[in-house]
Amino acid sequence: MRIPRVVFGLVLACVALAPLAKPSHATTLIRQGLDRLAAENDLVVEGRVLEIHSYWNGGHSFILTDVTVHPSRVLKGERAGDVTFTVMGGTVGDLTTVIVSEADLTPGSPYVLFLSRADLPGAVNRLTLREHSQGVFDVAGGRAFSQARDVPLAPDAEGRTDVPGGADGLLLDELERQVHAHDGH
Amino acid sequence: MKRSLVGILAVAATGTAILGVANAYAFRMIQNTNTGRTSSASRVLCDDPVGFVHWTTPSISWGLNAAGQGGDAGVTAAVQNAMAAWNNVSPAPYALTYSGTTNAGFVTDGINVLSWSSGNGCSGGCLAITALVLAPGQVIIESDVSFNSLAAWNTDGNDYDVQAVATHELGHTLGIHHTELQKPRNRPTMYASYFGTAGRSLESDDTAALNCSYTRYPPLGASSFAVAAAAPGVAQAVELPIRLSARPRVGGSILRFALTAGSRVRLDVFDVAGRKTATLLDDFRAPGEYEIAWDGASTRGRAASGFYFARITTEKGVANTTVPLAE
Repeated sequence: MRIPRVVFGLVLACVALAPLAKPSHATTLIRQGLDRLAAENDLVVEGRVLEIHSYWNGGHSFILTDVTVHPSRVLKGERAGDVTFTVMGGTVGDLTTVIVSEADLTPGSPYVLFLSRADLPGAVNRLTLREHSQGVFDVAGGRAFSQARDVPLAPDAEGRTDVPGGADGLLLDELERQVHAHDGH
Repeated sequence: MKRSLVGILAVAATGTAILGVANAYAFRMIQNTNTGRTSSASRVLCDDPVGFVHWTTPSISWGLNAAGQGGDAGVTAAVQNAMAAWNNVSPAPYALTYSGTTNAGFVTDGINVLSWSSGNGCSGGCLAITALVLAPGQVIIESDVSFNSLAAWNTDGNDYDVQAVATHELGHTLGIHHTELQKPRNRPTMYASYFGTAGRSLESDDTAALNCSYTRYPPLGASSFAVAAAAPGVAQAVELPIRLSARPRVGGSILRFALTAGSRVRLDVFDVAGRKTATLLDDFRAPGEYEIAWDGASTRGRAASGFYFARITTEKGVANTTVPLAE
């Protein structure tokens, strides 16, 4: 009789603690303000993720993932239909490469993305999220929330560690206004 | 109903501690189970039902790519010191060893490498990045760390401190995510923000995280291999003439050990947070094999059912094992 109760307790404890798991993002990142994000990225779009595709790079030395987004709004850069960019990591067969710092993107979900070109392992000059989680804003209720909001950042040159919009996020129109203010338009 | 509640509390003891109700621990582990998403490095508690990424071997060899800042004076010592910080965690038996310089880099090739580059997806505001290669079951089979070669790196205490950042990133390679502990002093190295040379050393939150991994996923050979107690600096995994194992019995557990030579022996039991729960033996013992029963008695009354770990310390070294404690 005791054993089933312990097992029951274990199950209940596991169920109770399960919701505490939450996606997060981590690495040693220096805080990037919206001014730098806007100025140093080539393409800023609001859009919904259509597809995610993971594969080995050409040299079969690293797993990469292509993310295709259908933009609903282009905040910076030229509108050119769907946008595909590449991030490191993913799953191919039995192997998974996890990048502890990478953004978390789910097909069907909307985001604001700050994209620029950079070299990835075995993939030169790819359009990517160079600032990782700082370059992704979740979109909900007309507001944008930085994916780095749960992670304290290394201070920037001014000693600031806050993410744009903080926990309350930014109105999308306000985010667009600030991007335009810093992108040279 | 009351018994069920006791069961819940007993099994969830770790979670309670982690949540900060009973103490200040707030470490989180890395979980990845979502195929098809881009990263999914979730932060989870030690006893998350889905588990977390982990090694199955206690010995993890690391190479240093000497290209760029990797070849600067003091860098080798800095990364070795970073490894030593994690090696010194007890009773977790992990031994991170420095295997010398290598031409390997931030690629999936079975070699764990620390390297400097701006072409590994870490540029701009990224100081360093860690990749974990996982086999089914969230088993880590390789890890690589890439430091941003465009940043200013130092080993003299100025920003950015190689040892502090290496200590932090090596924590990720061991499956530890960022802690949720936030305080102005004595920050764990797994605090997400870089905070200077103070990040070189581990705090109790960091050591509890590694011991959590060891407790839930005891690496193969952890009971039969021991870390040489007297080895300075980077600990080496060496087989010693000492064994420690445990098996459950009604109302407790039986610990078994063998001595090839007479020695003073100390046998301690710790909980998953690393707190000493009981001392079962502290005396001289002649060569031979021994079994000692533990009925759960502790310094704070009867210990709750669950998993604990035992450490045996002799004049030849130490060994550890996981101890199940049933009602």
